[in-house]
Amino acid sequence: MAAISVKDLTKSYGGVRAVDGICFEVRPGEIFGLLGPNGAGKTTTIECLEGLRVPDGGAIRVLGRDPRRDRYELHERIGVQLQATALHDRIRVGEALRLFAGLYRRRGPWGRRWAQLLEPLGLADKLRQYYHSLSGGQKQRLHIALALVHGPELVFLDELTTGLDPQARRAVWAFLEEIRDRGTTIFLTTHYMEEAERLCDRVAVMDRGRILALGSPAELIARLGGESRIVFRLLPTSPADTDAGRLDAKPKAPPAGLEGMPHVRRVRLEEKDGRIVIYSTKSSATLAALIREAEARGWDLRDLHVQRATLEDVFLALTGRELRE
Amino acid sequence: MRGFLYLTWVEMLLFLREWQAVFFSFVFLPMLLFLFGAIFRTHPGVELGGFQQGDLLLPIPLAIGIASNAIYTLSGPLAVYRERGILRRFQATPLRPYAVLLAQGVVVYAMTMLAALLLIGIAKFSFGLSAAVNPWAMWGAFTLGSTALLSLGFLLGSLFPTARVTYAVNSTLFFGMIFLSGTAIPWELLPPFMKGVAQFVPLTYVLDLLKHAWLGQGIWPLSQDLAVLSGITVGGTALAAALFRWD
Repeated sequence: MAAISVKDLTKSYGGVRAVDGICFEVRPGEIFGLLGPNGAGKTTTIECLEGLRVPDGGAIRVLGRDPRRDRYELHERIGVQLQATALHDRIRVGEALRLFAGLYRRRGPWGRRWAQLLEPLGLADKLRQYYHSLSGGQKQRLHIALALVHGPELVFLDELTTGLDPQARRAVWAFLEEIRDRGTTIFLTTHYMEEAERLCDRVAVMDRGRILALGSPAELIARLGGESRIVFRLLPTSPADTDAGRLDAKPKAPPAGLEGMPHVRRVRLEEKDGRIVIYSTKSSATLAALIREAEARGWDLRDLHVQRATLEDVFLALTGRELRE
Repeated sequence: MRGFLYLTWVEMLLFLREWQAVFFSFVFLPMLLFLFGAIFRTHPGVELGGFQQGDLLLPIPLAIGIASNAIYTLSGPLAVYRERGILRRFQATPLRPYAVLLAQGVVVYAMTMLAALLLIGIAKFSFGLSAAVNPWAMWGAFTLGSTALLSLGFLLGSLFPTARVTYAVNSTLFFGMIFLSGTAIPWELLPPFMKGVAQFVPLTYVLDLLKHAWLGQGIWPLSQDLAVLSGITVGGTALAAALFRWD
């Protein structure tokens, strides 16, 4: 049985369809990510699953239960980290953990030694600190701890690493993988491509209330048809090539002829830094052709490198827009 | 039930860490007792009818303390919790609305009770108390008065989305009750029209019950007070739990 199944979920706010008829299933024991930009409908979706919002239409089953009708029973079995939330200013970290552990009948693998939970989250020395004296990132990690303290079967994490520095972010990812390996299902939302790619077993790409693609990160990238990106900048050779008419200005379009090179799927210009990206199914052949072309036409290739395509490219291919803005 | 006990424990800690509420209960209310004592002293013609001065004084700061704690100290934090998203976090746990309300109620009741004991002690030493009072009647009057006003506090703490709205409604209600119930202004001085209005103010019944208990007259004969206050307690609490908003 699926841990979560969603069918034709819709939710509107004042005539705007925040969630527009989405369907998906989450398998037990996987880390499932809802990836999309801000305003895509991710938080509305996750809060409908948690039973905190009432959907306009569709059918939701979470652990086989209806999140509205059976919410008290369900809340006993799930853990939740909300995107916008707080605790009392004058509650200590240890007290908050004991309180939340006390709200549930079930016990986590750490039993009554819930303070162990703070170690992997880097909060072990904060046990006696007041909530208001924690930094934004520490509060965020405490909320993750509170979502896990009772050892839930299923955890919902809404933008879990917002406000975390890269090191803390990696520590949280490693910890969540450990939690997953113990059998907990994890459902998360993120607008952070690297998080989805690195952490999630399966990802649903969401934009404007709809799910555009669903699969493992590797599958989604493979579906692009071009698994490598060849990236470079091209110094303009004459002012006519640039929109501002100056040699240091950015080019306005990729030069003609690149699309015709071998194994090229797509060519595009990254507008913010003027880099040209060629998606290729066979990078060595495309690269050789590119260099021949550059020599023949006297191009000055700068910062030339080859990358694996990412979920960022998947999002771009699906929506025509970049994920990070 | 577990959740309720843990939440009560945390709310107790939080109450003690907020100096405003502690100051009001344990410093301001005794000051109020002395203030009313001073006002009475300036009226040498007052006939005490065999009672000590403390017997007559005590119900007033007690009623004010019960009302103020039930209305401000109870609903204020709930409004702030709601505004900051703390209640929303609780909504995602097995906690139910009545547990959130009752945890606050227990803390406020316990603290008001301590403040009442302090007031009784001060009144005994400073103004004298007659020995005739029945402690059970006093406790009963205090408790029923508290639960009735607490249930109003539950309603105030359940209904409003922001702290600003809550405080505006609280203040209107609190000062309305204090002045229209014969608490701030002695009942005997109210004109007939105001006495009619006072019939609709819950605090009137609380004060009446407290006065009778403190004068050693027993509370069982006051069936109207008992009925009104019990009704408010049950109706207010049930309504508050049903209408409770998490965000």
